[in-house]
Amino acid sequence: MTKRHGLLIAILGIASFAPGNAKAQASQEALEILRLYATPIGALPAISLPMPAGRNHSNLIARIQTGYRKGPSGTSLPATAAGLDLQYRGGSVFGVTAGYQKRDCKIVESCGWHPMFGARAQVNIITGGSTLAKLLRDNSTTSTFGAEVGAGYAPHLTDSTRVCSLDMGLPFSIAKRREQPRLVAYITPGIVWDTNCGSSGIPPDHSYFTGLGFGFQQIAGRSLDVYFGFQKVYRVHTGYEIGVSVTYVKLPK
Amino acid sequence: MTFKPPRLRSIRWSAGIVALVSLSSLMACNKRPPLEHLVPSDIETTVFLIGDAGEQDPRNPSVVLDSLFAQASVAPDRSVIVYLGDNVYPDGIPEEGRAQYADARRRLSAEVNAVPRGARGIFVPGNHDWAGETAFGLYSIRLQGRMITNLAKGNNVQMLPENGCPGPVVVDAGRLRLIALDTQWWLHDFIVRDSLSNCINTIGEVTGALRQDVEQVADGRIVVVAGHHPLMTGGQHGGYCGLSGFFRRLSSLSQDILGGQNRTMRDSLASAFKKKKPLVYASGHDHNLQLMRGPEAQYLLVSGAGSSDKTECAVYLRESYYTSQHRAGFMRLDIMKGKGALLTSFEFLGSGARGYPFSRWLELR
Repeated sequence: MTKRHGLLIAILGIASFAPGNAKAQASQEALEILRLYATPIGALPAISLPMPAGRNHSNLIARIQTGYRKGPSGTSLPATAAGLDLQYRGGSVFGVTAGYQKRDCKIVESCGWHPMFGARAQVNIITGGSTLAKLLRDNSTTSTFGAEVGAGYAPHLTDSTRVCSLDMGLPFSIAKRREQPRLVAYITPGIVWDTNCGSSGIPPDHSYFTGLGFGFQQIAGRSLDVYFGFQKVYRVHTGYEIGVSVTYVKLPK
Repeated sequence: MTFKPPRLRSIRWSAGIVALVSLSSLMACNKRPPLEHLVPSDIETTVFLIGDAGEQDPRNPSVVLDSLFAQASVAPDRSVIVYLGDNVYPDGIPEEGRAQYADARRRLSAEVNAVPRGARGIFVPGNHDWAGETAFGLYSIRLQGRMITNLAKGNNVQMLPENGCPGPVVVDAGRLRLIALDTQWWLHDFIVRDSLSNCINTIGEVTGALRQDVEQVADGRIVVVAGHHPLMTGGQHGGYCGLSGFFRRLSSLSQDILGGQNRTMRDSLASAFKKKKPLVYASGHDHNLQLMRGPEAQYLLVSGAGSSDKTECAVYLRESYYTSQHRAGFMRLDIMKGKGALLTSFEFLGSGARGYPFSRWLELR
C-alpha cells in the first residue's frame, strides 16, 4: 500500500465514521426530546384548574384528553389518555391518567404506540374574583390561583428506555359569563424534570414550560366542560403541543 | 365512470353540525320570564327573602329596604317578608342602658318599618343576633323578639323561632309552607336554653320535627325552609374569596361550611330533607346573592345582601344558577295560583340603579 492509498483509506475511514457519530449525536438529542414528550406533561394539553364547587361534597371527575405535536423527526406524535380525578370538597383535585402516545418511528427502533401514566394534584389556593371583576367590569368574574405538581411515567419509550418526569406549576384561571357556558382562560407556567428513570442513557434534564388555553364550563349543576390547550416547553428544538380535553364532573343528586 | 363520495367534506359537515348542536345545547339557558309579565291576580303569595340587613347607613335611607317596602306595598295582604338573620349588627340587642342600645333599636326599627301594614314580617335569627356568638346570646335573642313586637305596633311582625328555640316553626299561607329555623342554636358555644325556654332540647328531636314538617305536606304545595346559615355557598363562609378564604378552610370555624359544628348542623338538616326535598332552602350569612342547585333542597338560595355597606365577594360554583357579588339586594318568590313559582333577584348598584335582571321558574307553570 502506497502513502496515497493509506491517505485515501484514512480519509474514507474518517468520512464514514464522522456521519455515524453525528447520527448518534442527533439521535441522542432526539431521544432526549422524545423523553420530554413521552409522559402526560409533554404529551397532553394543559388543562384549567377545576371550576369551584360546593364544599359540602367531594366530586369525581372523568377526563379524556388528546394531544398532538410533532416529533424531532417531523413525525406526528398524537396521544390519547383518560383520567379520573377526585375534586376534594369542591376545590383541589387529585387525579391519575393513563394513555398512549405514538412512537417516532424514524428515531426509535420499533413503531406503534407506547403507554404513559401520570398522577397530578392541583391545589386551589385563592378562589375569588372581586378585584378582577372590577378591572374587567364584569361582576361574574371568578379567578383561581393555585399550585400543581405532577409525576409521569412511560415504561417503553424504546425497548430499553423508561421515562420518568416530575413537574411543578402555578396555574391561574379566569372564568366569566353569567349564562351557560362559562368561558375560562388559563395559564400555567412551570418547570419539568425528565429522567430515564433508572434505565441507562441520557442524563436527567429540566426545562421551563408554559401551558395555556381556553374552555367552556357548564354551571347550574351541569358538568361537561371542554378545554382547548396549548403548551410550549422551552428546550432547544422542541415544538408546540395542542390538544383538547373533555371533563365530566359527577355531582351528587 | 366511478363516483367517489366526498368523504372528507361530509365528515367536515358532520363535525360542524355536531359542534353546532353541542354548542347550542351548551348555550341553552333558562328563558327569563320578566316579573312584569305576571298577571297580579294570578299571584297567590309573594315571599321576600332578605338577609343580613342589620347594617343600614344612619344618615341615608336604605335603597334595599325602600325597594322592599315599595314592592310589598303593592299587595301587602299576599306579601310575606322574611329577614334571614343578622338583623342587628354587630352584636344583636344589648341590655337596655348600654350605649349601643339606641343604635341597635334604630337598625331593627328600619327593618320593621319596611314591612307595610297588612303584610307579614318574619325575623329569623342569625349569629350576630345571638350577641355576636357570645354568652349573652340567648338573652339578646329574647330582647330582640320583644323589641320586634314592640316596634311592630300591632302589625303581623314577629321573630321566628323565638325565645332562643331552634324551631322548626311552620307558617302556612295558601300553597306556601314556610318553615323557620334558628340555625345558630346548632352552632352556639354558650347557653342555648334555661328555665324560661320551652322548646325541643336535642338535635335529634329538631331533625325529627323538621322531617315531619317537610314530609307531611300535600302535593302541589311549596315548601320553603328559612335559616340564617347556608347549606352551600360560594362566598367567604364557603372558604372562597381571597387569601382569607384559604385560611378559613384551614381553621374550620363553626360559622363556615367546613367547620365541624357546621357540618353537624348541615347533616341534621340534610337528614330531615332526605326523603322529601323542600323546593327552597333560603339563607343569608354570606353578603351576596346566590342561587344554586342543591343536593339537600331543590334550590339553595343565599340572600344576604341586605346591607349596602356589607356586600362581599362570591364565586360561581358548579352548582350556581346565579351569583351576584358586591351588590346589595334581595330576592322575591312569587307563588302562583295552581302551579308555578318564580324567583326574581333584585341587585342594586352603588348608584341605586338595578343590576343584572335574574329570574327563574323554580316550579314551572
